[in-house]
Amino acid sequence: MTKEAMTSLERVQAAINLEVPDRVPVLPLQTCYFACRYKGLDGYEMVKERERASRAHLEV
Amino acid sequence: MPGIDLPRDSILQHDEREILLPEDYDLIADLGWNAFAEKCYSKFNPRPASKILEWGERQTARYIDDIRLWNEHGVPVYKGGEAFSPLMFFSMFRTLEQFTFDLYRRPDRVEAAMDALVEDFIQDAIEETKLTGLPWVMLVLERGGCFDYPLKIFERFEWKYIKKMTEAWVKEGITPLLHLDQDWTLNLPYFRDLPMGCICEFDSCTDIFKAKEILGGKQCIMGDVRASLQTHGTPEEVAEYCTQLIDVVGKGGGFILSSGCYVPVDAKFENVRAMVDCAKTHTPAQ
Repeated sequence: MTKEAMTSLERVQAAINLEVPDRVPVLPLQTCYFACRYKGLDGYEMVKERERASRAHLEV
Repeated sequence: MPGIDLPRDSILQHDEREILLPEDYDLIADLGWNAFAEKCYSKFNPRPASKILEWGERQTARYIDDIRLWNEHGVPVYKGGEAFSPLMFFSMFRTLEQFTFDLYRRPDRVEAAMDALVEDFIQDAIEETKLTGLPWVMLVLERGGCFDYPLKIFERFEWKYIKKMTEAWVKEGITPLLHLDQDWTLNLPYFRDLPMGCICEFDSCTDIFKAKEILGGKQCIMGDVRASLQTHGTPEEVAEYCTQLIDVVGKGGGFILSSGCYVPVDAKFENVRAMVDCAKTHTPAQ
């Protein structure tokens, strides 16, 4: 791992300001669907069971 | 809805229908967006009028709850609001096909309606960022690029509103994230004139390396590990592409590594991890 000298917020803001951060920030766009599928929830459960979907997202 | 209209194990799908009619352009041109929505909200939301406000407030409260939950786990959340461009909005609610006919059959009426609603879209997004406390707006742009329309259409019905919206938000201290799905390669030179402080996010259909050539030093670029690579590729292939992105698009700064559009539901866990690990371990060649 490279040595991290910035918080993730600082790193993203540096990129927006067109500066060179300590490393390239990574920010995959997420819905909970990927995490839910990985945790075994089906399509209905992803949408209707908010607590389980939220927990799956946090765990992944 | 999975389990109701679709097999239980599919994901939520958008059922595109002609919600707005041609005469609605004139009504919107007269009323603006918010007054039109108040008058005609049943077109968009099946709930009774008395329940709509309550429903909207509940959705916002849930999102604020989610933000708090993520922050408690040490993960910052960025998106504080979301807006459609006028073109994206009408395309979704007239349908892509009917809206495209409108652009040629009744262009002045379309433009008048767009002029009337854009200010409300700007202000509504500002209000959302105040409610959530996060000064980022995702501007959803999926149908206005060179894949869908010639530049003449883009200039009149998409670009001038993108510019107006982003300028207003940047002035308010808000970061606009332009969610540019589909191919925008021919539109890239226009984005040089966006206000400083925007993010141009590509989904892999636009040539991101060309974007770096044209927008480098002008706009922050974000993207673009394509969905098929996340789902069907190997961790080595993901790492190889991310390394190329970091070295070329990340050169000199102004780059955020990301999925091309959203991480797909069937992405492999090890591929998503490879993307994150690559950013953490690979030092860009400056």
